[in-house]
Amino acid sequence: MNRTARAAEAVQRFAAARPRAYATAAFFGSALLYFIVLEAFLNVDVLNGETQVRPASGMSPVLGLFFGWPGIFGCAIANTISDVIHETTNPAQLAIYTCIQIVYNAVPYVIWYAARRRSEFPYPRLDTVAKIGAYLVLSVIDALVITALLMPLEEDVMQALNIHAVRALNNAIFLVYVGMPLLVVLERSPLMPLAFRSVMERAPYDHRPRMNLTQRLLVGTTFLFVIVLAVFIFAGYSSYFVDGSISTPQDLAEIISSIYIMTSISTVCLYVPIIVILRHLETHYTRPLEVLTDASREFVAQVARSQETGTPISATQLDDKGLKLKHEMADLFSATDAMRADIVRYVEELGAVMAERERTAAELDIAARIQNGAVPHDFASFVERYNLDVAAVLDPAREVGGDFYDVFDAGEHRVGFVIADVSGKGVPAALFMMRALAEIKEQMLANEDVGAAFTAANQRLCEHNDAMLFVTAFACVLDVSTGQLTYANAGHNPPWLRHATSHQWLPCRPGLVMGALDVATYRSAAIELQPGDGLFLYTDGVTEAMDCNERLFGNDRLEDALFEVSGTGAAGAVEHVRARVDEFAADAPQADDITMLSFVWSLPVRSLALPPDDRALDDLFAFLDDVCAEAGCSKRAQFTMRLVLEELFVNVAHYGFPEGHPRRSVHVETAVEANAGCVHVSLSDEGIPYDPLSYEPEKVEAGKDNKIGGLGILLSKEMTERMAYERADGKNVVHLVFKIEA
Amino acid sequence: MDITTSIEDGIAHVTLAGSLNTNTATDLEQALEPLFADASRIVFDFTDLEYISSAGLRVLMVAYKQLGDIEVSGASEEVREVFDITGFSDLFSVR
Repeated sequence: MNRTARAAEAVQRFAAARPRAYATAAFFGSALLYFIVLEAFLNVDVLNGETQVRPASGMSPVLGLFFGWPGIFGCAIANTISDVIHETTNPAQLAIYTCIQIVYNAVPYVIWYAARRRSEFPYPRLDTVAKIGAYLVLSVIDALVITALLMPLEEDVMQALNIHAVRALNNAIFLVYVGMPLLVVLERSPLMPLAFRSVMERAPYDHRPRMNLTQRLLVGTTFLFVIVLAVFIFAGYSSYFVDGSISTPQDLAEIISSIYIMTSISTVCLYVPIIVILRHLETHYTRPLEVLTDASREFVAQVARSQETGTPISATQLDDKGLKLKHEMADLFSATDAMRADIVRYVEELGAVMAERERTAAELDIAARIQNGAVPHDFASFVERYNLDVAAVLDPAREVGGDFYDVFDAGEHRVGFVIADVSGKGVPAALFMMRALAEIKEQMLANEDVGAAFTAANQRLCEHNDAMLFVTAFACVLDVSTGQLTYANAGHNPPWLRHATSHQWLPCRPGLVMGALDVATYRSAAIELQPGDGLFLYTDGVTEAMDCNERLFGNDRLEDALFEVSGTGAAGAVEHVRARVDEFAADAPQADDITMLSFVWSLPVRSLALPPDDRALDDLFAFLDDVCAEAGCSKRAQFTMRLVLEELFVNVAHYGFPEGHPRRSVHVETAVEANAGCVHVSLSDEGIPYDPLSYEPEKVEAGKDNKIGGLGILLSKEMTERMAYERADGKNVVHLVFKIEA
Repeated sequence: MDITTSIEDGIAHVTLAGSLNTNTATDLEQALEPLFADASRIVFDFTDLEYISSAGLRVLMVAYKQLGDIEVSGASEEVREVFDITGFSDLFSVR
């Protein structure tokens, strides 16, 4: 919005708020302007007297036309004041002249609004040929009216006839050359015209930011004519002043009147063709362009409304408002019509597409919720029942994805964990994911062996897999009574083993992806987990997360992240890795589903360090008695624990540290798994490598040379629920599980 | 551990009470040694024996090898299980 438009708005607000003040300002403004111009010319002798050149008479009807009664009366009063100053006529005469002046000023205003009061925009804006024509006709009528009204007041009619003619011409010409430009200037200014109240209420004034073509041509041509007129008048006066051929004022008056006549003739000659040309332009170009502009605006608004409310676009056909279209305009209109029809069709199609997309989005939203609901989120019961700290995150790249995990009870004291990644993304992957989730879980519940479960699940997934989708999966079952973890892999990333002392990738056979080959078989492997150990499972969305430079997150960063949280619980590990991945990816969009599942077998552990010496045996017994009392072990269980630990400890003390081998402490750790009714004990020493399970002891028999040495091992093997050995970090570690209710 | 020994008609009666483990096995070994010369059979009363480990079994085996006739009575369920596992039940007459 430019400055003029802002000023126009301010003026309109002022006029609306204080109409009396605006009318008063219009009254005094008109009066002052009229008075200044009138006095300026009255005080120049050569322009007054016989010649009576009065441009001000072209102004007062225009000020009246624009400002209404304030303008009409303002100019009339100013004229009367001027008369009082110059002619000192008697009051009666003054009153008559004032009345005549009021009529002169009021004629264009009254006739204009009388004729145009019903039109859409009744104000005097000369933007059509019809209005310009009306103004010119009004000018002539007004000039004749005042001449006729003044005629009876002149004493010598015959002698004054010439004066009347001059006066009529003077008024008419100045109404054209001064009044018309003044009207244009007023209309272009921020000022607001005043009309009859009913008119203003019906059609509020609207300031237009630009002149239209007709207005511009009118201003241009009128400007040219004014110059021509000025040249004529200048020529007339110069002949009076300069070449001396004319000397008396009467002669000057003659010249001036001939100038008026010539000017009138040339004005008619000039304006008639201009009007014809303007008329042609308006009919065939200006008006059609305006109609087209308005129609296009309305069309755009209608399209916007239609998109907002969903109603169809009603007027598709371009309304030509009865214009006679020819040549280029006809082409333009038909082209626009075709374009509008196309747009309407596109908008309708787009609406249908958008509706379809919204429906799909709503469905996907529900699908995402169903998928999210298919995997467990609340792991509190695993902590309560098995001291298993479990945490997981499933974050599809799109609404739905092909990744999944599962945690479930797989028999007595057995907890199953699955993580899997279906090839592809989005809806196809999600559908296959739901199938794979169900199949794998079902088979893991049906088969104790994970490998066998995978083999069966693979066969089922290969059936009717025409889309050739496949799934990588890793599953394991943790027996919380023994700590034994059996697992199988079907082409999935090996998980990270979160061991109390060491951290490493779980050694896995790679295995074939599921759903690809129905004869594939899977074999399970097993390791012993200790209380405090855990596993971190993930999909390749983690390691293949990309940053802005398309670098991958990679195994090394994952390893680093996992090392940073080696001591923390499952949730800590998952959250930390997620944070590291987010930090790495920064603003890069997530390309693949990110899924993580972690668990920690978090039994409270008691530990004892002993010197490798028989004399420490009593301390060991005391410690074990404490543990048994706390766990509520049976007499037999207590006996068994004492026996097995004594045998193993004494073995280590006697044979673990040959001469020269540093005699370091032996560590005993115990954890009670009350729900499974088990006590986990580990015995670790830094002696020479020795696997007690590698020894195959035999019973003693009568008549045989019985070796007594292996009986301790025999007892240990027979009396424990489970016994496992590992050599790690230069230590012999024996894991033992005892039943509380033995 | 308390060890009580007595010999009557070439049959030694040994009563054990408490825990027979690596540390106490030598006490038993020392207590049995003088009996081997005079007795042809040892009858153990294990009624108050709470615990036995392979160190104890070794001492019993030594005695078995010396005399070839060992009788055990009053052994608790746990101790009997140890004998069963190790095969000692077949060597001794366990009552």
